[in-house]
Amino acid sequence: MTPRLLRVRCARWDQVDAFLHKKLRADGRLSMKVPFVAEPGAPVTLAIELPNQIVVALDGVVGTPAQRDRPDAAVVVLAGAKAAIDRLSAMVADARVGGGDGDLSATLAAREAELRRLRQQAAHEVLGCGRGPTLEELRAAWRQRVRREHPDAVARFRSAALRLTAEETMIHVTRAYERLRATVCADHRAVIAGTSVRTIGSLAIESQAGDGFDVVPLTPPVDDSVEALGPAGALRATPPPPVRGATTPPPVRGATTPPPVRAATTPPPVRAATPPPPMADDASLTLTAPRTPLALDLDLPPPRPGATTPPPVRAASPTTPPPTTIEQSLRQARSGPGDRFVRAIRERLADGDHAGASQVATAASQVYPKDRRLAALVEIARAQAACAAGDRDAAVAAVHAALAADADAEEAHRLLASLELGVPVTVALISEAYR
Amino acid sequence: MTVLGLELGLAWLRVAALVDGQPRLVATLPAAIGFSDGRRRTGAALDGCRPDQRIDAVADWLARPAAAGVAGVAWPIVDGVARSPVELAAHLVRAGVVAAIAAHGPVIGAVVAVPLDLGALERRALRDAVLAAGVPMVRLVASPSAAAVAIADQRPARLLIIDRGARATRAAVVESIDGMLDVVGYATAPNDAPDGAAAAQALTAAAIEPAGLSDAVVIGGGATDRAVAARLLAPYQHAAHPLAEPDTAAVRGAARLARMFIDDPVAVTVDVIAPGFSLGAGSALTAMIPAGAIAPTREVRLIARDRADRVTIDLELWEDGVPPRPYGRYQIAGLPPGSGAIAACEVTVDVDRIPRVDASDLVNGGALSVEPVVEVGLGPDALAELRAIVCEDA
Repeated sequence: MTPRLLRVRCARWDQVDAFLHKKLRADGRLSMKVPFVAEPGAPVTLAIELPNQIVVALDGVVGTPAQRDRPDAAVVVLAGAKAAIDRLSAMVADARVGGGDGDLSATLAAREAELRRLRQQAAHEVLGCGRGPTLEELRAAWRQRVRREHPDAVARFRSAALRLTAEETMIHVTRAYERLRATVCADHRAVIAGTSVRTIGSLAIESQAGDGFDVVPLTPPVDDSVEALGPAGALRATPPPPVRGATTPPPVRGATTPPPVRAATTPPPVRAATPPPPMADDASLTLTAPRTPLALDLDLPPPRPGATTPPPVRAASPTTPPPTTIEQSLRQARSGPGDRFVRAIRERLADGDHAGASQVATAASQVYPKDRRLAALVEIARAQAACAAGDRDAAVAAVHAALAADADAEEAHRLLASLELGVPVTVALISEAYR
Repeated sequence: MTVLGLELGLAWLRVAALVDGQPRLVATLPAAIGFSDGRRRTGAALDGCRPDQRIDAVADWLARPAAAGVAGVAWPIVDGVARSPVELAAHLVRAGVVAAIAAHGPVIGAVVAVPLDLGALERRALRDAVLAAGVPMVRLVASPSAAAVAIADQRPARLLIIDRGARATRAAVVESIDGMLDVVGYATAPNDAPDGAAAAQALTAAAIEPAGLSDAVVIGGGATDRAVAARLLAPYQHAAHPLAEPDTAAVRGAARLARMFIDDPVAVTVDVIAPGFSLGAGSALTAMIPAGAIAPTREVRLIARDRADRVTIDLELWEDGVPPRPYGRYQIAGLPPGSGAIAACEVTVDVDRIPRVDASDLVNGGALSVEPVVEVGLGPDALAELRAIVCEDA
């Protein structure tokens, strides 16, 4: 039988105290009105909701009323009441002595104050280490802060406000860690592995190391005077991404992100293309921070299926410099936000790459689901795949579907006319139409 | 009252509850969902479903967007009704949650063990599904981290965890020190690759030699084949620990980690982001969150409109890859009329490695509204609606 759930809501700690000492008896008996017919022996679960949003649940059964019990109330006999009373009493005591972890509002206030303080501090102060930490000191300091500030550490409060404050603090702490880590790596040829940092010579690490396998300290103090420049957290924007490419020795870094197997066949597209500045479209102009000039025009043809190296990056080509003025950008983008996808898909169709065309068209359709041209091109890619398989009926059906999606698709009209005239079904037929 | 560990694989949904501080497996259901006579069918009840009334490998569908009618990515049709993958997963998870409630009372939180390289689309869909299944608090952690908790408990350890799945083998090096778990290197290889490929690459990524490992274990459904497990562990005999129940190690660890919702956490888990995210505004796709950043993290880009009379800006968020995957399209609204308006667009990736987009008016101050136009995830209202449907058995 599923236990009946009884809720006791305590908005204040003195209510918890009163419940513990006046209502709940030490032997676990509790006399209370219940919104159901209480049959002795029926299982119940008592959920005590505390002011810090924690719910303590106690299992029990409906008992037999004694003479001193009110006749209109049921008696619930709880299991494990002694331990629960002890624990709740301790939480009440914590709350009375000024908050601590038992009190959500006090904890939230303390953590918000801590966050405000951290925003004014330099990186090494945020982590609580010296100005020139060794790798070991740096990692230990970061680990200590993470254990305290990570959102997991406050999950028991089940408070969205507290979780977001912890997230904000954690971002701040990690940003400080990444900044110092990059400095140390750049100066002393250490490498980054996941969240960790290791010296080049520390690859063989003694598993008996008593302090938890940390690397051997290797470096003299590092001057992080960069931290003293400028107000911390101005705009809260874009500290230089410290762990990307240039500051890290390439061999190990390359292997750490993303999974090496994927990395071998699918080079990270964003890092690959560095030159073009951001371009505007009809709606907006991206002003990227100068320290992160990485941009990729989506027009770039991604690698063909099965290819192991990316094709040349067209936007990075010296013969086609990207637009550099707002006017140029606007002129290029005036024809609509989905245009770049349409161009990319048409190029693939013209090359006979129906798999690539289908990939791009499907992805673009998710972003612009109302764009009829993209919906039609999904079908045209399907038609080209059917041509490749020699399936004339499927190809004709797909072209019909393309026209149903976009009745203005001239190429699809021409294709359909050709197919109905009995022109042989080939990939080249569609390639020619979209060339 | 209890907390749960969950693991949704291609073949099985596993649910473990934390009882008296120890994880206890409460349900193992096929990762399939069926509908007949308007009612959901799971577990043994699936036998009565026709093929068109059931969907197998629900996890495979998770990256489909929540919006219906998107070209080329139609929702699965089950028993004649198109249902969103989030709804299908929510129904399946609900069946496991109901079993846990029946055995151990109300559920107040769950930790879900997921593959370390699971994409943001799938992560968001899975989190929404578990929330819609009636679990109030959800945290996603990497399977190797969860397994490390089950294996190493609280002792300092550096573990090589090889997860043998249905299609791929994932290997991760996890450090567990001072109550903190972090993955310092990982790799994935298809099951038809040479046996040691993933593990060797993970060790390389972590810059660690085999001698530096304290433990080496094989987990996952494929590890129940002892011969396979022995082959995978062969190069690491000095640290090898064959597990009695390798297929449930991750879910048992997840249940241990779920203690965080009622008490001090057993350990905090920290992940790095891979792949990264890019922001599209107009014709440019700009690197935003780099792969390798530690979660949670945040980056900001400044975006100006091109015409003074425009009060909205369109944005796209893409998950890096080849080709990049669209995560969502958003519209920033509320920019004041007149020249000079610049939106500071923030992308925050939370501890579950799920991104969100916020914006503020750089010139005049104040937050700007960011409305998702297309996104895989559910908004609060849609989530509440789905929860009401999925939990109507309560």
